[in-house]
Amino acid sequence: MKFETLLARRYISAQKRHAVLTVCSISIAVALMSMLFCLLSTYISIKRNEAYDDMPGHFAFYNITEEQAEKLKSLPEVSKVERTDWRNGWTATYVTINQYIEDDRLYAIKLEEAAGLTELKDDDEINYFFQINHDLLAIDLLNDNGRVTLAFYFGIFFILVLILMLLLRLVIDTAFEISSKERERQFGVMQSIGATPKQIVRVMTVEGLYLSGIGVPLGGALGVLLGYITFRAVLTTGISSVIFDSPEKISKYVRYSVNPWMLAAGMLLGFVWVMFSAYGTGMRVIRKSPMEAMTARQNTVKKIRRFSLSGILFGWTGKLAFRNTRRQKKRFVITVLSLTISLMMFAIFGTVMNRAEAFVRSTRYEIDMFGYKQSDFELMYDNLGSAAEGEPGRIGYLRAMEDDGLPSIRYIKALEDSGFFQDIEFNKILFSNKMTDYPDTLVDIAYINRETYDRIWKYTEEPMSYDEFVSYGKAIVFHEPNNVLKDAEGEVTIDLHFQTEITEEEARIAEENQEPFVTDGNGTEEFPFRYYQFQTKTADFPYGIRASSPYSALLEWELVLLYPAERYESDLQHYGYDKEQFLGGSWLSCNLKKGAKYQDAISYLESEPNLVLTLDNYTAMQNASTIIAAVKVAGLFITLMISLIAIINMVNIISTGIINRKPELAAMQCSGMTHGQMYRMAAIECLQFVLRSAILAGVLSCLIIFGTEKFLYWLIQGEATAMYADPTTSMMKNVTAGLDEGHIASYSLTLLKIGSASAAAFVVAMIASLIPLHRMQKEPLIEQIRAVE
Amino acid sequence: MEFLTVEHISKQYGKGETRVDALSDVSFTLPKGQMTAIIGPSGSGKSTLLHILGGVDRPTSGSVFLDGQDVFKQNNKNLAIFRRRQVGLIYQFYNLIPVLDVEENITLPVIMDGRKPDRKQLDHMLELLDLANRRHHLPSQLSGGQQQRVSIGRALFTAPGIILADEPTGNLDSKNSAEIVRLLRESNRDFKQTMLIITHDESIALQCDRIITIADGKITNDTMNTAS
Repeated sequence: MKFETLLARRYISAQKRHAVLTVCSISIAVALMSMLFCLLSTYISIKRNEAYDDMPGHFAFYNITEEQAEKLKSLPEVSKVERTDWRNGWTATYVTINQYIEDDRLYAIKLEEAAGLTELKDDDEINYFFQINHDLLAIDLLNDNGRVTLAFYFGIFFILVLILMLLLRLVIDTAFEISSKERERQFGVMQSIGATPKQIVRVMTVEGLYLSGIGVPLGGALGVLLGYITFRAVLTTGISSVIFDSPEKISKYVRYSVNPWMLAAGMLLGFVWVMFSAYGTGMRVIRKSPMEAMTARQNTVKKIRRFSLSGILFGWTGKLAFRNTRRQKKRFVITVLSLTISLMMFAIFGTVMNRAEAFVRSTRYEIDMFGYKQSDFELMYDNLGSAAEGEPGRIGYLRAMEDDGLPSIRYIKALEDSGFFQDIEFNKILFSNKMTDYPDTLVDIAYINRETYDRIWKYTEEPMSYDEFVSYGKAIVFHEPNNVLKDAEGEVTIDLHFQTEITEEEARIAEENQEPFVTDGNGTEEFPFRYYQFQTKTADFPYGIRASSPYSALLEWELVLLYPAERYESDLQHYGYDKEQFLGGSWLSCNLKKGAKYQDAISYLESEPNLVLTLDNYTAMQNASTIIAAVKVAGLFITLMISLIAIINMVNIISTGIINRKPELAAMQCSGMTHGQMYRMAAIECLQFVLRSAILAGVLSCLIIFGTEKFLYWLIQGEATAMYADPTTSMMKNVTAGLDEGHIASYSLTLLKIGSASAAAFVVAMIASLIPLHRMQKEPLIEQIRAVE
Repeated sequence: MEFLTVEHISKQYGKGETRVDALSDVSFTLPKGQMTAIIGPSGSGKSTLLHILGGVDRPTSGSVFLDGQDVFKQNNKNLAIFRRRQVGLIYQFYNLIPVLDVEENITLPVIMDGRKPDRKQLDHMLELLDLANRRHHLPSQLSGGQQQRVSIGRALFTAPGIILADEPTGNLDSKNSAEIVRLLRESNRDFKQTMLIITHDESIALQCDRIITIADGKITNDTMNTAS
C-alpha cells in the first residue's frame, strides 16, 4: 500500500491545481447533499414541534385520577406521564411512549385498560376522554400511519437526492477524469515496469481518500451553512406565523436544527460517491493496455456525424464545433440533460408558482346559488351580540344568527360608512317553499342588492339595469324547471314554508299525535329548549321576464325568483316575514377596500357587537400566498442547486474540452486559424450545449404544461364537480376565472424564462471557454504544439 | 533571387540563471525552389528556427523576410493568414484534427481562408499521396505513414511559398520514410517549392540541395550538396 500512498500524495502535491479542482467538486457535491439532509432534519423538527405544540404527548387523558395516571406507567412502552391543569378545572395527563405501537387506537384502549378506565360499569357516568396525537406519533415513527407518512416524505426527498446524486456523479467524475487523463501515459509506464492494474486503481482510490479527507468535511460545513441560508430565506416569507400563532412559539419552535445523524448521512453519501468515482476512473485507466496508454494520442475520434445544422448555419467553424462537442457523447448528453432539467425546473416552477399565487389571489370565491363570489369576508348579523364567543355550529352561535334580514340589510350602510369595505353584497333567500300548483317544484325567493345583481350577470348581458329592476315591480325568473310558469308574466302562487314556536305542552301533544315538530336548545338557563311546528301559508308573488345566467346551471329543481333588496322591507310587512320564522337566511359579504388596512377592518368588526365574521378568506388567502412564497423560495434554492451542478458540468466539459485540445487548436493556428475564428468556434460549441438544452427544455416544458392541464381539466370535468359546473357552457371559463390565459402556466412566460436562463447559461459557458483559450494564447504556439509530444 | 532571408535571428528562453539561448545570431538565405536540410544534435535549436521561419514563434531579435515581406512586422491576425497562405508545416507527430477526415484535414487551410477547395486539385493531391481510397477516413483509422501523408497534403494544398518539415519521418519506419521523402522531393521538383527539412536521418539530408548544420544555436556548417 506504501507505493500507492506515496504516488497518490506526490500526484496531489504535484498537480495542485487539479487537486484543488477535485476538492472543490467534492465539497460542492457533499455540500449540496448535506444541505438537503439539514433542511429535511429542520423540517422534521419543526413538524414535530408543531405536533407537540398541539398536544405535548403522544396520548392525553383528561379528567382521570392521579391513581389512574400512575397505572399508565405500568406499560413498557410508556416513557413519561405528566399531569397538568387543563380547562374547566379538569386535569390533563399526557403520555409519552418510546416504542413502536403499530395501531395507535388499539394502544389507546390498552392504556385505558392499564389505567383501569374500562372497569367502569355501564351505568357509571363516563366523565373522562382521551386524545391521540397522530402527527407526533407519526413523526416519532411510533405508529403504522407514521411510517407511511414518513415514507411519503422520504420518497419525495430521495427522488430529489437521487437526481442530485446522478448529476453530482458527473461533477466528481469529471474532476477525477481530468487528473487521470493527464497521467494516462505515466500509468502506462508504471504498468510496463511492473505495477499491477489493481495497484493503479488503488493509486486513484487512495487519492480519492486523501482528497475526500479535505473535501467531505469542508462540504459538510458548507452544506450546513447553505441549509441555514435557505432556511432563513424561507422564513422571510412569514411562513412561521402561518404555522405558529404567537411570536413566543415561533422563537421557541422555528429553529434551524441539524440532526448530526442526518448530516453524517449526507456526508457519507457524498463520500461513497467520491470513492465510486475514484474507483471508476481507476478502472477506466486500466482498461487500456500499457502500450496503448504509453502511446496514447489524446482525443482519438473513431466516428463522426458528417451532417450538422450547425455546419450549414455557421460554415466550417460550425461543423468543427458540432464534431468537437460530440467527442464525448455520453458526457455531452448528460450535460445537456442536466442543463435541460435545471432550465425546466427554473421556468416551470417559477411560472407555476407565479400562476398559483395569482390564482390564489383571484379565486377567493365561495360558491352560492348565484355562482362564484369573491369575498374577503363573510359576515352575519348577531342578535345576541355573543356569537363571536360561541363555537360555530353550537346552540348559542346559531341562536345568535337568527335574523329576519332587516338588521343585515341595514348594516350595508354602516359597513360602507366605515370606509374599510367594498363590494358589499346582500343576499336574503327564503327556501324550502313549494309551488301550490306543482308541489314537486321547490321555490327560492331571493332578495339581492346591486352588487349581487352585477355578479350574476358579470359574464353575460344583464336583462335590465339594476335601477330598472328596482322599479320593475316583478321578479326576474332566474331559473325555471320544466317551464312550470305557464304565462309570460303574472303571479305565481307559492306555499311558503315557515315555523312557529309552540309550548312544551303543545310539543308533547304533537308527539302523542305523531305530528312533526322540531326542537333546539340544551335545557340550560342560557339556552332553554324551544319547540317549533312547521306550517305553510299561501301567497302570490309577481313575476316577469326569464333571465338566466351561466350560474343558473348550478340549480337543478328550484324555481328561483329574484327581487331587489330595496323591495325587501315592504315584502317583509306584506308577507309577514317578520312575524313567522321562514326557512332561509341572510348573508353579507364584502371585500377589504383598496387602501384599507386589514387590522383596522378587523378591529372595526370586533367593535361591532352585532356583526360576526363567519369567514375570513382574506387571512386564508394571505396564508396561502405565504405558503406559496415559502415553497417558491425553497424551490428556487433547489433549482439553483441543480442549476449550479448543471453549470459546473457544462463549465467542466467545455473548459476541459479546450484544455485537452490544446495541441490540436495550436495545430490549427499553425495552419492559419486566426484568434477570431477560434473564438467563433468556441462560441458555437457553447451554443451547441445551450441551444440544444433550451430547445429540449422548451418542448418538454410545453408538453408538461399541456399534459398537466389536460389532466387537471379531466379532473375538473369529473363527476364530483359536474354538479357545480357544466363543462359545455362558459361555466368552465368561470371555474378557471383566475387563469387569465386559460392555462395552468403561461407558455409564453415559461419560454421567456427558458430563453433568459439559457442566455445566462451561454454567458457562463462563454466565460468557461474564453478563460482557457485566453490563457492558452499567452503561451507561445510552439509550446502549445509541443504539448502533444 | 533570394526567397527567404534570415537576418541575425536570436531566441532566448527564460531569464537570469535559467536563460537559454536557443538561437544566437543566425543568418542565411534560401533561393526559391531550394530543398535544404537542417541537421544538428538534440537541443541545438533546429525546431526553434523552423518555428520562427514558419511564423509560429517570434524571435527575440532579428528579422525574417519571405518573398520580400518582413514576417514579424505583421499583427497576429495577418501572421495567421501568412501561415495559412505562405507556409506549409509538417510535424513529426502529424498534428491532424481528429474530428476531420482526410479530405477535410487536407483542405482545412483553404476552408479557413474562406475559399472553396478545388475538387480537381484535391483529387490530384489524393492520388499523389496515394490516399484516394481513404479520403473519408478519420485520422484514427489511418496508419502513421498515411497520417503523415495527410499532413504533407495539408502543407502542400495551398501551394505555399515554403514548406517547413520538422522531422517528418521521425515517427515512421524506413519504408514509409522513403515514401515521404520521395513525395517531398517530387513536390519540390514539380511545384518549385522552397523546402526546409529538419532531420536526424543522414540519407534524407543527402537527398537535399543544401545541408545546414546547427549546434548550440549557431550555424556551424552550411554546404551545398552537389550529390543530390
